Amino acid sequence: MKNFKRYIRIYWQIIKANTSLILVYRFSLLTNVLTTVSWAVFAIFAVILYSQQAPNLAGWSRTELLTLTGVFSLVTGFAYTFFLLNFINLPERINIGELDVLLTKPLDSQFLATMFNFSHANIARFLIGISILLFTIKKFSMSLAEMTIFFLLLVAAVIILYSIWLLLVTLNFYTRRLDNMISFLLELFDQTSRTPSDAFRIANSWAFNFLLPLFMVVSFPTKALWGKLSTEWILTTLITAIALFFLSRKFWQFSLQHYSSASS
Amino acid sequence: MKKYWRVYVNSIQDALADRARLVVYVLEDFIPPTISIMLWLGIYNFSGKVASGWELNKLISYYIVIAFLTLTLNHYIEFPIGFRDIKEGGLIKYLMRPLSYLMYIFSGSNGWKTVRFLFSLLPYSLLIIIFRQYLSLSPSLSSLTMAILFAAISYMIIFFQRFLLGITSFWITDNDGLVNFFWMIQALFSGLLIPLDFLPKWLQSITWFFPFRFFYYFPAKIIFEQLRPSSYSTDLFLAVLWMIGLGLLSSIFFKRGLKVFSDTRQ
Repeated sequence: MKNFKRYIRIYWQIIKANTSLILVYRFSLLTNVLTTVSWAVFAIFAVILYSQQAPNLAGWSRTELLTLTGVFSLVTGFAYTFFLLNFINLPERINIGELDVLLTKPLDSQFLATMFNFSHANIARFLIGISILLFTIKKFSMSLAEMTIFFLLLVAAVIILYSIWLLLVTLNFYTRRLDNMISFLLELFDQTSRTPSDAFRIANSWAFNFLLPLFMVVSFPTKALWGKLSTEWILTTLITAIALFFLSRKFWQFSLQHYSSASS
Repeated sequence: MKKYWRVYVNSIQDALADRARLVVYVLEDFIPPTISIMLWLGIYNFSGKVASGWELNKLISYYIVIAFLTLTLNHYIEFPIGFRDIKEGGLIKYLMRPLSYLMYIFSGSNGWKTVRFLFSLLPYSLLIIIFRQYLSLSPSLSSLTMAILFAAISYMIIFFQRFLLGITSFWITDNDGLVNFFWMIQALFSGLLIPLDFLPKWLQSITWFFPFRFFYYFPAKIIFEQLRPSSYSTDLFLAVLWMIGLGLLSSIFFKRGLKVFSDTRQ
């Protein structure tokens, strides 16, 4: 517990340092927030466009699609705020040998490597997600149990996303030419997660199975929200989150042994 | 021109040395059209129809054509210009050499694009093979020629537009937000996400004020012979005007930007 408090205190200092840094690039913060807000407006607009063309999109109504957009913004808002910048910067840190700065600190290397940068602009995305959900959630009657499952799946979603990022970024310890894996994953995640998982399941079961971990991040919590997700899938998602987290942590710790710094 | 040919060749060698990264970039190009095809297939399989005025075959063929145009026409220069050359100060080495920076970037981009295009042929062939039963394309020679002409103009418009975006770094040091904002607008107004016919009429009329519709939507519509030659003579004129206008703006703003540029490494 004492250790946990220490990490919380350190993380608060990291956030304060990051806040000072964004004041240097104020215009960038403004454009980033504007982009985030525009993306949300665009996503809502896309839902309206698609649902006009196909009122029942693979079994998903317009309200359900809007909820999907809300959950997408909520999960990505949280994950992008706390982790994204770190995963974007990490390949370069590994490739040019700058990781020493973090490794020599008396703290957990994974904590520092993946939580050192904080993205203020993405808080807007998180808030937009909450706003969309508050707007759509009124139309559902949810029990306390469904609400609890939804929150559990949201936590699992962030863990799955974090773990996949970590697994991919860790590959940079072995090859120095894969620093664009994160942008690839972001594009894939962005495109698939705003689309209902059922559309893929109906279109092609192979594609559905291949992209299953990504559907667990947004589509599954959304389906759980209105009680359309089976118990098997809820358990599978939770187990996947735990398994991926431990796998990615072990892979990170193992791969650190392959790291050679610029100074050594 | 010999020096720019050298830049082009060097850029090809550079791209070939960076094969792993290139493969990831190429795969990334295929995500939006593939996901769109899957989505419309899912919609069709569920409800037996796709969208008003479009058949499933035509819609899937549209995305296959869009995939080809994306990998052929896109330039990815705004981040190297904005970050590597302006923010990090790398521009100084080009200013001290007897070459045009704009031409240098153009030659370099062409080199990367040549290799990227060749690397894309395999996944593109796979895309065609997977969805071959939906492919319905039979353009006439004249339509194909016009589509290539529009695509060539679009190639230049995209280059100048990305160059202008890149050099905004002279004034906005960190221009990531602005670049991402433009990507989003372009995705919507160029027909990359959905054919522009799906947009409401008021939004379709807004696309007239931007060059984006020439990027993918217009060449695709000509290939599908959904536009009559008489109807696109004005558009051809407008596209050429956009190309010349953006080219001039690129040159003017680059010169203005140099006046505020300072090499941060000194």
